[in-house]
Amino acid sequence: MPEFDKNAAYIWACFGLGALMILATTLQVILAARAARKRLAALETASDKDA
Amino acid sequence: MWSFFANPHKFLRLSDWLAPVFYAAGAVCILWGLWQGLWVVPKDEYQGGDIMRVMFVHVPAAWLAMASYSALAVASFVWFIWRHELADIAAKAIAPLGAVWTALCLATGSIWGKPTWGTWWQWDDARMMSVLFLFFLFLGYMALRAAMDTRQKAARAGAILAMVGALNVPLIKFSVDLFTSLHQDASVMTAEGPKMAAVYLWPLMISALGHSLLFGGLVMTSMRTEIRDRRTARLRAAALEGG
Repeated sequence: MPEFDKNAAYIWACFGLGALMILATTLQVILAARAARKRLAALETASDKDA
Repeated sequence: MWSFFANPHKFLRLSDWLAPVFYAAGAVCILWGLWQGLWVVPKDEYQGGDIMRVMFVHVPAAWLAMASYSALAVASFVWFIWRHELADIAAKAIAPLGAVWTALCLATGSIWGKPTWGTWWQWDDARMMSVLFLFFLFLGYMALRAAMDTRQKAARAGAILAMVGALNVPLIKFSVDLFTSLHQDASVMTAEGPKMAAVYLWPLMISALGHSLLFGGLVMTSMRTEIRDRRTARLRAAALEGG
C-alpha cells in the first residue's frame, strides 16, 4: 500500500467514498434494469398466452 | 437526425452493445487513474503534499456534475421543443446519476477542504454554495417529476426547471473569478490552456474520461429500464382495458 503524509486519512476517505458511491450506484442501476426486463418479459409471456 | 436518435427501438439495439463497452472502457480508465493517483504521481508540496491526490476523485466528479446538469438541460430542451420521448427518458435517467456525482463532488471537496483550508464547509463561499445549489436542483427536478400526476406534466415541469436551472452551471464555473472564494482558481480549463504539469494532467484527464464513460453507460442502462417500465405500464393498462 502507498504511504502518505499526515493527511492519509483524508485521502483514503475520499477514494473510499468515491469507490463506494460509484459501485453502489452501478449496482443499483444494473439491478433495476434486470428487474424491469424480468417484469416486462413476464407480462409479455402472459399477454402471448392470453392471445 | 433527431428522428433517428428518437427511435426507442434503435436506441435499445444501439445501447445493447454500447453500454457494456462504455462500462468496460470507463472501468479501465478509472482504475488506471486510481493507480496513477495513489501510487505513481509524485506529491506536490505547493498543493499541500499528498492531499492533492484527492484531485483524481474530486475534479472528475465536479466536471461530471456540471456536464450532467448541462446534458439534463439539453435533453429537456429537446423534449420541450420537439417532444421526443427519448429526450425526456434521457433527462429522467440523468437526474439521479447527476445527483450522485454532485454529492461525491461536495463530499470529497469538503474532506479536501478540512486539511487545506481548516474547515469542512464555508457557507458564504460562492463555489461551494453554487455546487450545493446544483445538488438541490437535481433533487428538486426528481421531486417535481414525482409530484406530477401524469407523465406529460412531469416532463413539462421538469424540463422548465432543468432549463432555468442551467443558469447555475456557468455561475459555478466562474464563481471563483467573480467572487471571493476559498476554492482555487481553474487550473485546467483556462483561456491560456492548462496550468497543471503533464504528470498530473494526463491521469486527471483519463480519470475524467473514465467517469464520463461510466456515467454514459449508466445513463443508457437507466434509459433502457425506463423504456421497459413504460412498455410494462402500457401493457398493464391495455390488459385492464381489455377485461
